[in-house]
Amino acid sequence: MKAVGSRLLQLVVLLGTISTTLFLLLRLSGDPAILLAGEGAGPETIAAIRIEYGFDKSLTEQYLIFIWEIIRLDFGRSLVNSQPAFGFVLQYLPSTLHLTFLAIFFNSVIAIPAGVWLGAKPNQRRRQILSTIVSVTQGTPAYVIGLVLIQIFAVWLGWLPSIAGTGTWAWVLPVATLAFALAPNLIRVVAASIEDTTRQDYYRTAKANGAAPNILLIKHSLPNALLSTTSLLGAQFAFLLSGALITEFIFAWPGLGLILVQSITNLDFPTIQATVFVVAYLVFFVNLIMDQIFRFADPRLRRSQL
Amino acid sequence: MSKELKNLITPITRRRMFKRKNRSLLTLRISATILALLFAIAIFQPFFYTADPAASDLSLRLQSPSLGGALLGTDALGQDVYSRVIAGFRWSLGIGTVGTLLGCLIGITLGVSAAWNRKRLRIILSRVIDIGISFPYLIIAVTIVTVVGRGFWPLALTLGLVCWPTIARVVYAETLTLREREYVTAARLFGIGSIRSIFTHILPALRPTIQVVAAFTFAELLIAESGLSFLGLGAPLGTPTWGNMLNESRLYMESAPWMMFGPVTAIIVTIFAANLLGEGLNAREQSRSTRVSQ
Amino acid sequence: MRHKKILSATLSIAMSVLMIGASQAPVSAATKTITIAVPGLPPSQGNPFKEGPGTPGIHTYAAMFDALTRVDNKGVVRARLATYWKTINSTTWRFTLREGVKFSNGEAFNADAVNETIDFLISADGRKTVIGSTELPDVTGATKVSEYVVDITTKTPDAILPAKLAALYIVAPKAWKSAGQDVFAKAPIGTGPYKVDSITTTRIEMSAFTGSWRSPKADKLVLIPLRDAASRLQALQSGQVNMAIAINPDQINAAKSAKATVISVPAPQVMSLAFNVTAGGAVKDVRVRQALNYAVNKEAIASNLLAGKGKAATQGTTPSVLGYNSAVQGYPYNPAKAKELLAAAGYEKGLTIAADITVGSFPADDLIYQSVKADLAKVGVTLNYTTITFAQWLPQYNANSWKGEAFGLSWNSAPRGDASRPYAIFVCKPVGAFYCNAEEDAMVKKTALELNAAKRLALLKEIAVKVTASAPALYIVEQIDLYAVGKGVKGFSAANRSIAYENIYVR
Repeated sequence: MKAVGSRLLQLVVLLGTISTTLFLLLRLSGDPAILLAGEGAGPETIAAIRIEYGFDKSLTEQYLIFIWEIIRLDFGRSLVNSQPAFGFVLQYLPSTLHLTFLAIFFNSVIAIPAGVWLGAKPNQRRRQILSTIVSVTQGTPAYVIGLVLIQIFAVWLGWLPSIAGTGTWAWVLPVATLAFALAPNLIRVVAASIEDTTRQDYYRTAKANGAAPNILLIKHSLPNALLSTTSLLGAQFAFLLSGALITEFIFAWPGLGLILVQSITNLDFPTIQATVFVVAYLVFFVNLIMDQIFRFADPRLRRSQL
Repeated sequence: MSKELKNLITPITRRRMFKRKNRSLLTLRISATILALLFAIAIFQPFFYTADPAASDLSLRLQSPSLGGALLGTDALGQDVYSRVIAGFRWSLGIGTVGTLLGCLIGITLGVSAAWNRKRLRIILSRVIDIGISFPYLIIAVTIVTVVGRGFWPLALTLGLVCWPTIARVVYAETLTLREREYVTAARLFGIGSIRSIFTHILPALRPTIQVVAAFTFAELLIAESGLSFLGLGAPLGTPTWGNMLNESRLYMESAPWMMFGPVTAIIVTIFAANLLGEGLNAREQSRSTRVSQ
Repeated sequence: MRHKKILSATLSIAMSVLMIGASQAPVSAATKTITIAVPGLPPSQGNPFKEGPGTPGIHTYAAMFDALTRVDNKGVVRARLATYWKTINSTTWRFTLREGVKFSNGEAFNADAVNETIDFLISADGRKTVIGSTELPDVTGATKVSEYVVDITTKTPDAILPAKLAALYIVAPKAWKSAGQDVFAKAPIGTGPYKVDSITTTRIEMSAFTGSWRSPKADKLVLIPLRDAASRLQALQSGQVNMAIAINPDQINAAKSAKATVISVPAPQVMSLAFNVTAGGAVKDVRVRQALNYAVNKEAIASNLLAGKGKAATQGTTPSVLGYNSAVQGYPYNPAKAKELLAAAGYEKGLTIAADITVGSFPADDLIYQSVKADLAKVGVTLNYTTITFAQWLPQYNANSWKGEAFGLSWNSAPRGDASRPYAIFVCKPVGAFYCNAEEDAMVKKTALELNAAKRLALLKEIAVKVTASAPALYIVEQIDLYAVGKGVKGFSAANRSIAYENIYVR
């Protein structure tokens, strides 16, 4: 019970701090009233808009209003499309979550077996080839991967669509792009931690006692690798929630990343704040789940945890 | 263990150890050599130019690579792609290095402090790290570009502010284990101050981890730079960074693929070397700790 | 090689058959859908008052709304929802409206509809929108004369009100009133050929409004925003869209090899770097401004970077704009003369100037700016760019708080197709003036009040001579709009960026 309370408190503090930071940063980024008024707008128009949106009030006053509204989960209306910002952002959450889950899933399906295979006997020549491929793909930005995939599978072969909203097939390329972009890192981490366990004393003892390599892998190496793998997957998940924006850009994917770019371009404060708020909230929960997995996987951590 | 058995095993293990050590040393040497070479290019870049990387000639635009003319072809402004890739070394490596250093500075400070303190400070700092992780980098980039403008330092600052949370997390986790080690606990019992203990025990012990993380971060920042450039938040227009060049080449993927080839190769080679260095350091550390434990 | 092609063709056919089988989209053979990749959708969605008259709004609104007038590619004002107009007195124009026009919700278009739109425009809320505050600030009201005749009044005499009204889309009065602007934005209703089914950030779906006076030839229209020109072309090449709007000049060949037709339409827009003259500094000297104009090889830029479709700019307007003066030759490339002028102004050793620019607004603008920089370097002028976003550009422009000597500014005559629009920017504005020449200012003011068309045109041409000679900006190129029209798409045409959606069909 106490743990739940402290977690809740942490969540509140986290969201409060993020909102405050955001509030201050956005006020540094420009005056949305001028943007709303348009090119060549007179001072009267700008002043009228300032009053309407409350930008004329003092910074402290604006801040207090802002916090009070956030407490009621009211982020105000979007400055450009006048919809309630929170609801607007939530509309785009499912498609981002879907994309994220699928990308993480396929990323794991590709990367974990590859990583285990690579890590189990890292010195074999054929495994070193994979290691090289991983290094090379790691050097390619996601948008290059995306554009190349589109060029091959949509333009040259004509097999797959590259625009969102055209059916099930439209998921393939964005998911593949993200999975390809994420996989090298995961392969690397999985391989490293599998390799790491082969050096541990208990592994050697077990091996010296004549345990079969496969059983060793399953009983000792995999659980050990679970920790770092989940940790990275959690970080990747958190990143994708708002960081897949370039991929969303290229595929016209209706997700949070795209909303974030658009609202930042338009200085649409309420939408930016609502987006970051939602992302922060989700990241908090991902972290929470990660922590639980850690505790479960590694008894040593149970006592040193907060 | 019987003496007989021990004699049987030891030579093999020794040989294996030697082999592994050799391998990691080799990896380290190769990667360090490549990186040193790359930095040498960055420093002595004018010697490598075949043309002025900023000189444009519209009548020579989009020429394919040729041995007699432009080695890696020319871009949409008729600039020499090869010379621009060379010019990009200073920008890209510089930004990557400064960004990584900054990220390490913030990350290590926060990570160590969070792990060292057992009380409220730890909770606060852990949440700060959480905030850092969940804060969209785009907003950091936009704010910096708005307030400071675009250029080498703003970009390096942005990248540093983007990468510290990951470093902080790793350092935090590592420090948590370190502070429970016997020698650290013993030092505490002997009344050695926190600051001194951190500097004499924790930081040296963290070094290998930090080296590895820094090498990987460096690689990631090179990619991040091109992403920022894609979003119009990267280096100033026309600056020969690899990210900028890659971004410019998007339109010409079919008609002038060489525009993409140069910067992509440069990024891949650099990242390959940085990763190799990270792995080499990692492997050296592993073999060291194994040796210690034997 | 051929082998591979056949193989890939077979495979792709097999795959596409499979995909048709797999995708559950109920696209019957009879439904003809036109899908268009656009650079962006209007952020304020279906609220036409909150968008400037240019892109991206115009690509969307041309399908669902109509204005009273439109201006064609030659600067001539044409009938739209109004068929005839004349002045009643110096501040009143009388418009005769088209009869038998319906809104897509069944409401009738008449004088009341015009009244309602203008009532909103002059309301406090309307004055806070771009159209109400920037495009039509002088419109003071509308009075119904009869069912199809309406009088529109202005604060001061306005010779070109009919042209200016091309920026004002008429909304369905009852729908607008009952929904309010926010709800209306999600379900806009106009008289255009298509009615909106759904609007999201990544897609607008529309279906034919067969009762429209501009009845469409296709059944559905889908607009998909792809901000990246490379993505737009890829979408066209792969046949996922029928058309791509605003492709890059360097993509023309690739589009053609995908069997698309590339249509280049001159834009009534001159790309330029405006000088912050009022702030003083080197650019205060007219010789420096002229020198910079001479130093840039605009012909080379137009022929290489705009694929020869754009032209070197000679003045602030383009040939299609009313008030363009073909006698004005501008500043042909002459680096020797540029050096001479710079030396005369005391800058023989060179000069450094800073400019704030936005990129990604026009075809090849990033390359064009870099070319300008390279040309200026040849005469000893160092030009340092700061690229900013429009959100950063606007406040500095409105308040003229530029830190540098120049900033990116286009001389835009759209949508009214009249030279008065750009010239009105280069005047002694009370707030945010970056250029102020009393003589030119007086001429611009005089033109605004001149009701005689011939006299007005003469005045505009005179202004062209004067303003071009004082070079308040570095004129670069006359811009173009490029449309890539896919195989089998017929009937495309665009005037002043307004696409005639009703005529487009897929064969």
